[in-house]
Amino acid sequence: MTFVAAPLPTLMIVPTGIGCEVGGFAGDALPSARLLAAASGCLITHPNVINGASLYWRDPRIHYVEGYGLDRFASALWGLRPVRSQRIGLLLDAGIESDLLLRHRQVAQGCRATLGLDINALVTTDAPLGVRLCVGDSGTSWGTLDRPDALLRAGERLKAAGATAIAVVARFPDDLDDEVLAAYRHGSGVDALAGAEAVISHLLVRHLRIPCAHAPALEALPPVADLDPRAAGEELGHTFLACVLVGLSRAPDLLDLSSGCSIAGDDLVADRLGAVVVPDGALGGEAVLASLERGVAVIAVHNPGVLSVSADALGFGNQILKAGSYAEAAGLVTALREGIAIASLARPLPAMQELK
Amino acid sequence: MKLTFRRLSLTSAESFPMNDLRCWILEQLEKEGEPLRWAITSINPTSETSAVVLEVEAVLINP
Repeated sequence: MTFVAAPLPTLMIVPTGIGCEVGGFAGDALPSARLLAAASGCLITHPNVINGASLYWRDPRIHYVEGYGLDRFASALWGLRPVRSQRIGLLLDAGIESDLLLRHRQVAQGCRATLGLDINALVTTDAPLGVRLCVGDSGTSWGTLDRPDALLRAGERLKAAGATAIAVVARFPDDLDDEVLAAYRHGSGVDALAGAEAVISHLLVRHLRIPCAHAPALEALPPVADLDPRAAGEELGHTFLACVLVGLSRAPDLLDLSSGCSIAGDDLVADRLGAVVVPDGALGGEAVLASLERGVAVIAVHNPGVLSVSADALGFGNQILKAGSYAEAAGLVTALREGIAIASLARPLPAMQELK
Repeated sequence: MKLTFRRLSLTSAESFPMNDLRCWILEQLEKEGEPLRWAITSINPTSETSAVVLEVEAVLINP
């Protein structure tokens, strides 16, 4: 007889735009996500972890949840309901030139024809979105939009037409700082686009409360021979859209728990969360702080980026499990799933507390 | 609706319960706008007290 422990819903976060060695590039945390999905039996993660532009991997144990929804899930405001498929609407920025627009429409057609995805409608915004990129003093990438109203109007039209999830493509500036772009393509520095991407999808999810994810539209770059393998997924094709469509095609529905909706057995809610896995310098995000408040096991993995918001800096040093790699984190998740005390795995065994 | 990127320095009270940190930061951000996306990007002790200075970067929504 084979014994399999019940899945341990686990949240994996690699914050977008902070230059992590694992996950700071084109979906290059995907192998780690697959490992954690195998260890936990149920992994909830966000597009930055697993979007590899032309590359993607579908695993029924991995739940694709955009960051705004992820924060609300961890804060026990929203739940997640797994679905068989989503009907995707494609939202295109009016600022995209005709040739580039055609490439994106063809990706959607290809995903319908070859992968069997349900993509029912597309809409172009009534004004260019005007994406602006910026970098914080911390080195983290951020961004804003000139016309958030145009984004939301287009999203409303797709939802009204029956879309249950939205893939959005915005025209991003091509005039990136040459040094920043070269560093990224050679495997260092921060993804300058990522922060603005997250803002776009956050805004849509906040407004529509359905799964949304973003792909940037950019002119192709001239090939370089020494491209870092972690950035290669973004240079295989003309767009970054395929992975977004695949991710959204089975993204869970978002449940507003304040609406009094009933929770089904397969639904994922924060009370059922067993662990959070996050880079050890990136503990200052909303989902991690919410999970610490709720006493969820947080595993801080050595995964350097530009931030140093550590367990010790936050004063949570004793509350957080530390892992030197995602392989070690997967071992800790397996122990939690199997009910093995983490302290039993180390030597010397820590002393038991003697109550007086 | 307008989106703005902001960096805020927030000084916690002494002996601040870290379990209340998220709600406290949200309260501070909401004075400036609706927080859409934010993170603590550094934490520094103050020189004389147990309070800490948090640097928070955020994109806020304003009408």
